[in-house]
Amino acid sequence: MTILDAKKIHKSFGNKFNKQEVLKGIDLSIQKGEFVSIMGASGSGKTTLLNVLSSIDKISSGTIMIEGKEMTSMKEKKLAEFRKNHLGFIFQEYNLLDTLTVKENILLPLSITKTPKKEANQLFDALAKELGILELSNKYPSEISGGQKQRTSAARAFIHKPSIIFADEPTGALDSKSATDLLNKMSELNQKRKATILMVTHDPVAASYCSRVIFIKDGQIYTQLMKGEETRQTFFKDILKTQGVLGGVQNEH
Amino acid sequence: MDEAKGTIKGSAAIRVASYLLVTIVSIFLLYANTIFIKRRSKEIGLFQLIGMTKGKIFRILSIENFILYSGSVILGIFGGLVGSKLILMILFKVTGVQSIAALQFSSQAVSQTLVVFGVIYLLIMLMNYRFIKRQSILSLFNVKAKTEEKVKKVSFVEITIGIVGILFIISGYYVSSQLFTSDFSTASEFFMAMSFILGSVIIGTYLFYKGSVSFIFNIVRKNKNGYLSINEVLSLSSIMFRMKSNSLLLTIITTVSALAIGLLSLTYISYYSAEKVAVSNVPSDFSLDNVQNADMVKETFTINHIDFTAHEI
Ligand SMILES: Nc1ncnc2c1ncn2[C@@H]1O[C@H](COP(=O)(O)OP(=O)(O)OP(=O)(O)O)[C@@H](O)[C@H]1O
Ligand SMILES: [Mg+2]
Repeated sequence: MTILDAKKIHKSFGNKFNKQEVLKGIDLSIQKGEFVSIMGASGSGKTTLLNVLSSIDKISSGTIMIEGKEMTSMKEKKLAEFRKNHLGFIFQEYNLLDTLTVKENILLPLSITKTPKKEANQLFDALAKELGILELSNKYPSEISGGQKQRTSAARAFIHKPSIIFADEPTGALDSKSATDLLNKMSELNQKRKATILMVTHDPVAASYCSRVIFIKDGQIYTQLMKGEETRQTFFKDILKTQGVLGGVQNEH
Repeated sequence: MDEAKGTIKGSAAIRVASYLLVTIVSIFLLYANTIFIKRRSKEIGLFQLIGMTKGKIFRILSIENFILYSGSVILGIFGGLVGSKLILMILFKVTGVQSIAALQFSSQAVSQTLVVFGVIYLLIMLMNYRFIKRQSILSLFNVKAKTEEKVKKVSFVEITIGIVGILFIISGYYVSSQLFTSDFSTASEFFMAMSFILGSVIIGTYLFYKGSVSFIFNIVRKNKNGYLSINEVLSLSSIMFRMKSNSLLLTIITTVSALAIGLLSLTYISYYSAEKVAVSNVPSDFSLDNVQNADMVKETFTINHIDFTAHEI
């Protein structure tokens, strides 16, 4: 089942006289349960692509369908309703509210959908146990480590069982152990809960946890790799190789 | 204060001061609100991201602000009442007046306060509404980066702004020096003159902070020719940019302190001059308006061996 289907996405910044086209016609479709990562050089438009796909930013032209619903034409209210039920977000800088405890932060999306307390607590307990942050429930974000913050942030993205989760360099601010931890948890959740994840990353190790890696160059899809039956190690080597080719080509200008 | 109200100068001064106070309070609150809402922009963005509509967020903010404002207004009025009673009691104690300090409740003052704060609340709501409507989620997440002002070269415009500021201040002081010597005689003329003085000095101060401070610091910096000691790095450059970006706040602080000092001097002057006026109007210890009484007093003084001089007019 197709969760996300994007066609001919164009995105430009700037005004009429000084236009910079960042995305130049990207086609992309993601199936349910996929764990996809987007890679590419700095400035190639990865964040921009994630932002337009996740409705945070507007596209210049093209269509984006999530769960068969056209998103580009939605008005503010409908969009909010859609985000509430179908989308989850993880950011590089965590974006937790410092005034709320870990548990309150995680339950935020549920309090907006007005989920009954008992059900919310059950969902929280199960998820927090899986992510290893149950004992942190009553701590504040300033009292926990970066890795724990990011797992909290991930829990917040997963809690309301969204159709798709967008993550922009979730491991960007973490050391390699916390990063590995987070990635392991994320791929577990991906497999157990059939959660669909689209992640932007610089890190080939992080990308090797995914089932598919899409390479972007100059606002277009350059190529993509499927993990298939490969082990993580061989997939990692493939990614490195492609990155090398991409980097080599990129040095031309 | 009632005494001061009686004179033309006094009443104009009190009127100007109260307008100014209201203006300052509103500017201060609005300014504080822009800072608050910028601080919370990430939170607002996050709420939108997890599916709150802009309208809902605005409603929550409004309720929050309402509780905050009505709470502080009620507390303020209550505190004012208690405070005024306390001060009255102290006054009675000091002056030895045997009377019970009644709770001073001026319904006019309360309703004026409520109106002023109501208007300010509405303005703040309007600002918040515009802010929430206009900002996209993406810009909300980036607001922090934007508020830290861009580091620019001190420009010609800035120098002009600084000089204009100084000119404003000078003209304000010039008019104020003319205030008591020359021909402002009617109340409205006085009001105009005082408003002009205050306006030009305040605007001048603002422009001065905006332009000249960084201009002066920049001259100092140029002399150092790029080599700053660590103390200078910590002090000069940051003070310079902080002064520039917070010139509004600094102006408010300056004005409030100037106002306080001004009012203090005014009360002192009126207190002091009241004594002087009394002496010049009635120079003698006793003045009696008919001859028989005067003779009687003279007699009493002579009987009791008290020296005295008498003038007859
Ligand atoms: N708001 C904006 N206004 C103008 N140009 C922008 C804006 N946001 C991004 N760009 C431009 O779009 C291009 C792609 O930016 P983007 O942030 O998508 O890159 P990225 O691939 O995420 O890079 P990185 O790996 O460094 O995060 C850049 O050249 C950038 O200058
Ligand atoms: Mg990026």
